[in-house]
Amino acid sequence: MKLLALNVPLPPAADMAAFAPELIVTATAVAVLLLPFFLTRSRRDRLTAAVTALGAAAAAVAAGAFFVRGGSHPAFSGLLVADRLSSFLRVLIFGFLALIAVMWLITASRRRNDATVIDAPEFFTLLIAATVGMGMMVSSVNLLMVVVGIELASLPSYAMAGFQKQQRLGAEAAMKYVVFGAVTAAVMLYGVSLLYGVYGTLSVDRIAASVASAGTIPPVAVIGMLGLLAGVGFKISAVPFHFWCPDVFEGASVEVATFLSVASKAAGLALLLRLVYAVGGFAGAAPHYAGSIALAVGILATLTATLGNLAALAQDNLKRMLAYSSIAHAGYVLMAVAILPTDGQGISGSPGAQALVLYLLVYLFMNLGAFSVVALVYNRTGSERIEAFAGLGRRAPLLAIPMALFLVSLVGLPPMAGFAAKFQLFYALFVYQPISLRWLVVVGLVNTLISLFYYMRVVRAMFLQTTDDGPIEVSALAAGWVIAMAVPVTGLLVVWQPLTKLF
Amino acid sequence: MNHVLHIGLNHYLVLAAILFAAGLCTMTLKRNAIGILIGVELVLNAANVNLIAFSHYGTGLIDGQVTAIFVIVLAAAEAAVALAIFLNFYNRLATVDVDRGDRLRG
Repeated sequence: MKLLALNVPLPPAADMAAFAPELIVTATAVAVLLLPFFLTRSRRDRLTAAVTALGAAAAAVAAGAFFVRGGSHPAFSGLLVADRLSSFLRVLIFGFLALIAVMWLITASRRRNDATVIDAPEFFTLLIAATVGMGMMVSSVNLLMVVVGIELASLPSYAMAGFQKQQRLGAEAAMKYVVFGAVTAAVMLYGVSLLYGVYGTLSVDRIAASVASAGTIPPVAVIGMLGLLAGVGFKISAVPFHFWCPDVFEGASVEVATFLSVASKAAGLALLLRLVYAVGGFAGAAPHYAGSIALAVGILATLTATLGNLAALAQDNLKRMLAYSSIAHAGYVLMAVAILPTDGQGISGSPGAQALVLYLLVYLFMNLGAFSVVALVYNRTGSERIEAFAGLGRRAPLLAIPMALFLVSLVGLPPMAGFAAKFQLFYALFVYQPISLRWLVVVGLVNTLISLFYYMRVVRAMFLQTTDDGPIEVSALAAGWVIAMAVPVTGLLVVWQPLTKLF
Repeated sequence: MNHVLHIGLNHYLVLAAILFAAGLCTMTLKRNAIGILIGVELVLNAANVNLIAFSHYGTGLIDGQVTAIFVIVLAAAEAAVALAIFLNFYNRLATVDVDRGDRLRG
């Protein structure tokens, strides 16, 4: 297949078909950008969000079709791969984009003077571009594509963090985000250049094969891998690359914070899983370096979960508290990455990947729900602080009761879906560990106990504190949306068993 | 004498390491956002020198050089976004000193 005039060879049609979801959302981005030329100003913001939601939903369905079909399809001369892990995460990420567009319609589009409403087409173009980058991150099996995916996800995110141009906090958040991101990206690229020098290739599989045949990792390659970890760690806000996260979440609008808290971290964690499994879980890998890799990830997970939970205890701003909570949850998922597959077992069906996928799926709904309530309360009270939630149980029970469900699920208590996610993770850590990291279960349980305090502080404010403020008016649409998010947060527990078989 | 005059892989790697060290110092010591961005560019170019040198002396394939071109494009895109954000920060605070962004903390 060739372009007629240029005589440029196009990639094979099968490769393009495997990446149909990315092509669909890219086309949506173009459509969203052109839409304002055909519409009056008053109608374009809502229609932009609707087109984004439809395009993203179509992409999620296309990725879902590939997931159901199964199999692994290496595409574009081994730069990307469409396998079950990448297809599932693309369903998750593109489906999440559709949900974010709906959430924006319900929360942000009601706000006057919100920059994302005034410049809705530009905002959604950035949002879609970042999502395409995340789709590439979860599919990349080549370090060049890892770098391009991370940058494509990051650059629009910097702009979205500072989208409220008139506000000082937005300007500050974007500044911190872009400076931190640029530094880690530069270090990552230097690390990638060192890995290229040592192994003579950027293909992750071929690097893994070289490592396995050498039986050891030379110091220069270790430095290269640490550089790569800086870039990926920045995306998942793993300690010590987490400093941007609370500031960006507090300074950016709630919808942007929601997007970054789920999509960016899910993509980064899946990418890290793929890289760690490729090197540490290579068939016939020498146990000693696999053990070092698992231990390194385990220590990273411990630091991330513990620091996130401890810092969240001191927060009065709900968005900032949820930012630290998202760091802590990234720490829990990192524990799943530490469960290396046993000899010769691929990513699909490995206990670590199963635990990661279930956790991310549950985390998506509970975080989206909690942030939606924060956005709706902010719309009515103008505050994101915990004082705004005082007496919410009486003032707006339709928001307070689902919020309590989301928070209980974030702790990981039964009968919420968060319990299934955490139980699956700790069970996998305890049972399947070929390299003993069972102490991570203790770390996880202690952290869950710590997290109980700050989540329950919000519940206590909502139901036990009283206030003179009158009831908060909640539209039927908003209440319906929050309750719709509460349904999977309770209902996923029922289909827990089939969900673990899914992957 | 001959091995000093004959420029080989090691010369490029030392150049890249010096560039990386200079860039890392600039990134960590400068408080001016533009200065940090200059440090980032130094580190990115250190990576480019590495990639091209390894590609020429090591593999003999073109993939390292192609990667370097990608890095140049990424650096340009990143600088464009970063400078726009710095300009907006300057419009709000009349400075590009990163330490002045102290409203968000805790």
